[in-house]
Amino acid sequence: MSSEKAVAARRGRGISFENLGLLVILVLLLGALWIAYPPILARVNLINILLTVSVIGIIAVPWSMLCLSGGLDISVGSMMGFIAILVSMLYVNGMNLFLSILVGCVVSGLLGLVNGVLIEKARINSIITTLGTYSILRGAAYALTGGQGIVLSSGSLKFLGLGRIWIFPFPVVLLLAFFVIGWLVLRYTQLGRNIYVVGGNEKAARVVGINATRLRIGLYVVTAIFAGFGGLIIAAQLSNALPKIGTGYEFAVITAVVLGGVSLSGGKGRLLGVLIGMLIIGVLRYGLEITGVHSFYQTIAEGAILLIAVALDQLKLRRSGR
Amino acid sequence: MTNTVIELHGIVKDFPGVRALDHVDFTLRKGEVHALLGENGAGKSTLIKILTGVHPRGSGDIRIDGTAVDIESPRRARAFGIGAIYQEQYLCPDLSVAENIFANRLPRSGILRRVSWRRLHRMAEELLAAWNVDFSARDRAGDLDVPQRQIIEIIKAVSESTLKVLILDEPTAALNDEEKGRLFGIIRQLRERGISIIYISHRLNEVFEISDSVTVLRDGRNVGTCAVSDTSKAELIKLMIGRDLAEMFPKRAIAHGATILEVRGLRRGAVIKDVSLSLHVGEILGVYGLLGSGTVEVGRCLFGVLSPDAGQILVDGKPVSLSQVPDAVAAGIGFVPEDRKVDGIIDLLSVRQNLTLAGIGSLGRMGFLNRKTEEARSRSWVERLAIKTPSLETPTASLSGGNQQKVVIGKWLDSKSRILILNEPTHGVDVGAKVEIYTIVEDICAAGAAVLMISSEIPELTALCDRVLVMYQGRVAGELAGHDITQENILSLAMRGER
Ligand SMILES: Nc1ncnc2c1ncn2[C@@H]1O[C@H](COP(=O)(O)OP(=O)(O)OP(=O)(O)O)[C@@H](O)[C@H]1O
Ligand SMILES: [Mg+2]
Repeated sequence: MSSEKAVAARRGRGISFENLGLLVILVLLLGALWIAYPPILARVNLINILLTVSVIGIIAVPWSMLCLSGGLDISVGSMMGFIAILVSMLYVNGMNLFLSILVGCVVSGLLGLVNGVLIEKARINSIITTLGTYSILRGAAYALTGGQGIVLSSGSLKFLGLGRIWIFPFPVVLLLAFFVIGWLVLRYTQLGRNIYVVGGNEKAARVVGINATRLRIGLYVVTAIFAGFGGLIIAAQLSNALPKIGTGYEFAVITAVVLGGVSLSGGKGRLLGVLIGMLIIGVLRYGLEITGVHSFYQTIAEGAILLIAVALDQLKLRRSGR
Repeated sequence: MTNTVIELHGIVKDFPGVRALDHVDFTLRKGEVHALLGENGAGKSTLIKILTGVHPRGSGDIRIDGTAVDIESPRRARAFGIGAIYQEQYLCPDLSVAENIFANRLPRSGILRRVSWRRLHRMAEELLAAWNVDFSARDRAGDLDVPQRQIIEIIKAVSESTLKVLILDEPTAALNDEEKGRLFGIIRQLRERGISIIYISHRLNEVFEISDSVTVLRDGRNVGTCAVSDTSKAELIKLMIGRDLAEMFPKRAIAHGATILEVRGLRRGAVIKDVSLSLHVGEILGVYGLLGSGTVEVGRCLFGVLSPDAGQILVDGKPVSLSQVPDAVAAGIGFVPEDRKVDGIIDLLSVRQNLTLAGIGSLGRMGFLNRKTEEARSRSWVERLAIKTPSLETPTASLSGGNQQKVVIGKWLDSKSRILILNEPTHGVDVGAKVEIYTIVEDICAAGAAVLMISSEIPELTALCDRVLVMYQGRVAGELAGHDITQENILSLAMRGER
């Protein structure tokens, strides 16, 4: 019985085997980086690593939940750009900061709703649908400004990206807060359980009275809002809302989530893994940048990591004989 | 030695946390029907999956016709002439019946060796005609129901020309008596052709009806092999569960209360033509009907999975609209579906999470879950239903078939529903656990619930039900109560619509 409990403990809480493997990869990467560049372990650098991936992480939280429930959204990167432009336009044209952010949230939420309804009610494939919105929103972001950026010279919008709370940059604080909330939701609430149930077997979910359609539409909305907000953070960091903001973010988010062990077909995975997956990307990006490796190679490295992650996942499936 | 087909020696198979097979010896002779018995989780399915190359064996020897072999893949097993029908169904839902039957050997023609659809459909129709079934070779497999799909699996395995050994893992769990009769006919024919059969079932009557010898597994060990003529049911049960078990299930007298559920003039498409019924507090109402008689659909309508075209449903005397499942759940109705794979269990979730799925609302407050309560509650179901699992956190998919079924039942027993609709509740469950489930069903009835039991297992209906409704072609052909609930009465109503 006691060994049974130990197994239960290992699987139920704390760090599972898969995550342990990820953690080892993370430590090895950090170690390698430390050999190449010893100051990496200084506090400022560690915080910078977090900062590098903060927006990826913020979006990865609802994105993981969506993915766990069996949905997919690749329009997040374009959503970032579009909302960043929209809110900045409202803001520089004199709208109150909170009001313009609120408008941004409402608009992104509605766009998420469009994604969700098309996918869940009209039954259009999720990749196709969000590929469509991906393209539309990116185009719209450029069209709104004629391809120009909007300079955010001053004001409190910049706090979103550049502000600090104690030693932590504001985006990092948000990142950590959202991860904790997401973890609590997935682990300790009925909503979280429903997400796993719907992703695991939608028909069985139906038979216990869970409305899978509504749940996933809700997650599309939340994901879109988080993505839009992430776009604002980037704009604030750059002090410049560029229509290209968020380009490639969908890729980074997918990499973090898949690397973290969340199954793209839903129902399986944990947020702790996603956190580690995100950190791996952070260490990789920041490390390559600080050691002066050209960004071409960063892109190659990230692609390679994604493939390795997926391959490892398949191997694990094979091994467990299913 | 000449007439042994398969010989297993010292087979060991380990899964994480369990030894599924522990030095099993097993001999299969030419042209015999060999029954394999054992409790849920005893290792029966694992043993056959080793024979069919689904799982690699841990250690031990396999000999076929006297030569040691390795069966490393299902393809290899087929080459040795071993065919199997598994407990879980493996049909491709989007392919036609014909494509499923001939999936690995589609007929080709012409220089381009293209698939000859016409020949494929003709071959399939010929096979289907021999079975006298009510679906066609062009039907989509996913549109058929459980027994129909089961029949396709059987046809598929039997139609292989190289077949030497046929393994059937609980083939009758989804079949009614008529279909079972046809299956047994086929088994006898195969036996005459010298084909050996391994037959797994939890129904001891069938074992005595069809098999020549029997092997009993307990906790992964072979605890006895003998000729069927040398043994008795009581002895086999004792071997299986290690103790005696009263074979008759004593029905408890439970006082009936007010009408809790009433259905008037239910209609849906061509399947349900006119069904009315009433169910009282404390009552167990059985529903029996042959394939296509509408029993399954009635259950689905009452749970809001299907919506009826017409009819009225009253709960506690008040009309309710059950247009979707949450309405039914809110009305206090629980539902065990007929196919656990499809909408019963969630493979990836743990035993704990599956067990509390339906009763989750009472696990905490304001959307939060209380893990302690959840663990305690699921642990108590694991113990009461004797669910064999390495831990509460084991993914449900890795449990044996019968144990998965116990999880599905436990989930609804845990939900405290006042009206329970049970579809084939003991599908694949062993004798000991069956008695336990019946006892719990009576307990919850005594505590003020009511049960609608849709079952194709007549002994279960006669043992447990206060009344039995028999359906025939979408209508209630008759209602039996008390001493009238007998196998003959049920069958004659079901087959002819009259007594
Ligand atoms: N894929 C798997 N992964 C892990 N454990 C498994 C797996 N398959 C079976 N087991 C375990 O092996 C044991 C034997 O299972 P098996 O399916 O052979 O039982 P069975 O005799 O067929 O039972 P049933 O009558 O319920 O079908 C069980 O304890 C089960 O939990
Ligand atoms: Mg089995």
